Amino acid sequence: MIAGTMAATPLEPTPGARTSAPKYSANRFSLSNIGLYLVIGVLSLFFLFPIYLIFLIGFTSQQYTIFSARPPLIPPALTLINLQQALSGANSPFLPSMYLSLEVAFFVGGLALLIGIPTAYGLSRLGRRLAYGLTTVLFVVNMVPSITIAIPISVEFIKIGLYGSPISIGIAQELLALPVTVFLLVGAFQGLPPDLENQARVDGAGRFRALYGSLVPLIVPALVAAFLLSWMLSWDESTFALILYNPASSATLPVNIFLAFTGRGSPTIGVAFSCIATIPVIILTVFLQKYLKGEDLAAGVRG
Amino acid sequence: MATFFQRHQNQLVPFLFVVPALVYVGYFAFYPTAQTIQYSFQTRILAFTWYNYQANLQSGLLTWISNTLWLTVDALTIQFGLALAVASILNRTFRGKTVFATIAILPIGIATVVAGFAFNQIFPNTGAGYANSILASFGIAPVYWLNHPWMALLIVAIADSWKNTSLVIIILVAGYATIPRTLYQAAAIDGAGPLRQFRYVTLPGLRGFIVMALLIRGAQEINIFQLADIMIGSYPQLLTVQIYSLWETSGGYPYIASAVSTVLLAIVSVLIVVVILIGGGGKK
Amino acid sequence: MTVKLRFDRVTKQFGNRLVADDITLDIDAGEFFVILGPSGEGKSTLLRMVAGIEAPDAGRIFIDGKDVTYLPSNKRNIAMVFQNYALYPNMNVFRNIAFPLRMQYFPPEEIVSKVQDVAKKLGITEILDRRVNQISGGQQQRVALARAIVRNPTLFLLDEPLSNLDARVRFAARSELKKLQKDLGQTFLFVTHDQKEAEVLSDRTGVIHHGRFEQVGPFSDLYDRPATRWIGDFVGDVPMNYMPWQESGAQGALGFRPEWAEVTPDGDESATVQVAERVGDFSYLLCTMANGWRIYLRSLRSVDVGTEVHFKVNRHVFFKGGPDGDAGTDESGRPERHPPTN
Repeated sequence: MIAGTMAATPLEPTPGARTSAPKYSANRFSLSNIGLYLVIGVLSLFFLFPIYLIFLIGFTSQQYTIFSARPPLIPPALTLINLQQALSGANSPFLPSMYLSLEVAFFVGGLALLIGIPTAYGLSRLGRRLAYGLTTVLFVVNMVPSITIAIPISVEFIKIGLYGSPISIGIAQELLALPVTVFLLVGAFQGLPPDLENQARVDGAGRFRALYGSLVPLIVPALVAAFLLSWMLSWDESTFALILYNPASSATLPVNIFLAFTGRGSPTIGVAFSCIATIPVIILTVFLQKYLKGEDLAAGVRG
Repeated sequence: MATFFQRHQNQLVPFLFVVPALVYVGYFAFYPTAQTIQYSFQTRILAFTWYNYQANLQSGLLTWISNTLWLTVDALTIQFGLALAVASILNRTFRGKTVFATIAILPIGIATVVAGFAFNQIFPNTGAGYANSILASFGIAPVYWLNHPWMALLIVAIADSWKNTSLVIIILVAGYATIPRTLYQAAAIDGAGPLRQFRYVTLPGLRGFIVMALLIRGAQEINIFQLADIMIGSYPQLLTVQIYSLWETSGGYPYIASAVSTVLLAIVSVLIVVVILIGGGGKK
Repeated sequence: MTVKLRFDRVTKQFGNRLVADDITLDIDAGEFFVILGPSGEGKSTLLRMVAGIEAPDAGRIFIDGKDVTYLPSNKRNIAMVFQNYALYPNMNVFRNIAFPLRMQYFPPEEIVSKVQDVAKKLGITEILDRRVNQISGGQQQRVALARAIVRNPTLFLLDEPLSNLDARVRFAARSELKKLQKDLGQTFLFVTHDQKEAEVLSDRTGVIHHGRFEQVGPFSDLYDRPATRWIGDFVGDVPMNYMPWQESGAQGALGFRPEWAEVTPDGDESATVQVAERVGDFSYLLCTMANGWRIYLRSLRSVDVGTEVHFKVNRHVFFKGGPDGDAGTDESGRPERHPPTN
């Protein structure tokens, strides 16, 4: 269908790709279903338990959590005291930290699209071999340890005078966001009808107008997914943020949480920060799951 | 007369679109990497020397390497085992599938430092912690989780796997989507049960995706830093944590740390080469 | 008669496949020229080179006397209709048609009036505000045409624009297209593998085979005076019949279409019917002659299998060439072009 709309069936493969293993039985209590749900239950527990703990610790008084010899799994009482301490402490770094994290995350997300769209477009139009080679280059970059790069980069940034600014952190983090973004977007571009761009060019559009006028509007779901992934990557990133932050001003949330846990602050404050930092991400992840459909990603791999 | 550029403009112009990304990556990734390698062979006085490497060897570089590898192998095993299970479940239809799918990728959103803290609370070395609470309810004595180096590393591997299995799941789900159902039907007709089908239909179909996931996660695993730093600090020593502490204690001179960085790079490169050779280059 | 489009020794290779082999051809202004050929033989590639989507490996292309070989597509002032119409999915019909005008920065009021004019001409005024995935295939095709017409280009390129239509819609669309071209008086370069379209639509047809134009001319020429055996087989509903023959001292093959032979008791040739198929008003008879040759004959009456029929050939084409009727053309090699004698 030329329309190219993507119905939101989350994490579901195309209708053709089902295993021949037992399908969902009509009888909800059949043995295979019970087995399946049992496994799902266990796995879900595994995925959810630490998140549960985070909120548990955040909203329970310290004596029952980190200072307890036998911390209970069900809290005796909930409290907001951790949050209050975190937010209201005289020199609470919370708000500036959150602001910085937001700044950097949006910068990284936006930059990912800014660089990623033309790059992915170019890659999708080059021959297979060349595109594969260049994409590999981008991914290899991803495999260099952040710590290896962060140190020389920090030296460079000091020279340029950007050290400690959100831009420097963002530029460094972009190295992690770009490969994923390009991967997603190349797949998206390749899923478009090949003659659409040709039609736009024949109709009089130059390269840029053809790209942004006829192609980009059709891959909006992939753009959203790429932006969200890059945003979350930045929000979570702590290596570059740790090495490149300016101690005189604020650090990003993960760095502050890290410092809180490793002695320069109270751990409970760290947990309170953690809870607050986690909430937007959970919301975004639920949102993102809609866009991570199997085929879009597969397109990028088949590329 | 048509110029070379004119003749090949349909190939050259797309390439121009890629150039900015290449420049960015070249300047911010390749150049610093080259610098690091260069630094590893220098000291404040000498221009080329093996001193840094020798010093690190004496400090226990080989132990750091084996620790890192043990951690990596554990983590990758857990991640791929879990991810295959989850992805194959997600390949079916059932009630509550969307919910489960969301749950399965939720860990991506939890900040690494936060996850590290949470697992610290589950598996601390103080005899307390939530795992011990659970054990206690079965009457089992508390375990000091980080006592043995290999177990400490295993705990870190579990924690890291918790967060990163989701990425592998996403990749494998994409892979499952490319396997046509008719292949399974043909295999079933040929007499293959679920296990055989997995081996002869699923695995080959997923091969390119597994390779890609191995490359990405393998490298990230070897480079694990923040999580390990929070959970086990500098003992048992991992390569990345050593790099950081060497840098911090060097007063701004990167030489000793760069040697370890270079070793780390070498290991990642070996991983890439091995995986590509065995896996056949993946599909991209 | 001015030349609108000129191919000058155009050559293009994909890997080791030569899809355009030293092609030289002039297309006149106002002409409806059909490029006819089997699928995958290079017809679309020729069109795309004219559009600027591909560039030739060698040779030049001239539009209105100007060398456009390496000119970017958006500067050629041509219109193209693709097989799947390539309508912009995120825009409604109006904005699709308006797109080329926007690219040239026409003022909005002018855009509106031009689009409405064209929509009226093609009968799609009612669907101007619909999304393109909500209209039928026939309507989509007309939108694609409207978009092509609206900017008054110097040349129209059409790549199998009727292939995606249902048979019945295709029939009507075909005549509408011909009428449209006559009304506009524009030059149409039309690519297809369907001979009926070539027959109905073209002023001239060029049959392309192995990257070369094996014959160019009005369709009736292709039918009545095929230049090669391959053309004789390719054009027409039923393959041509061939027998080894001598004429004027030269060896070759005699070719005749079933309808050029008459089944009649006083015919001097005879053959036995092996298969009889009734299609429409005629029976098509696959017969074997005494010397072993199999031929198709056509008769108004039904004939039983096994009957011996007599026929005479009223009209034929002679192909010069090698012995045993291998008249210098075959599927694998380059055809020798011997002008038919009649």
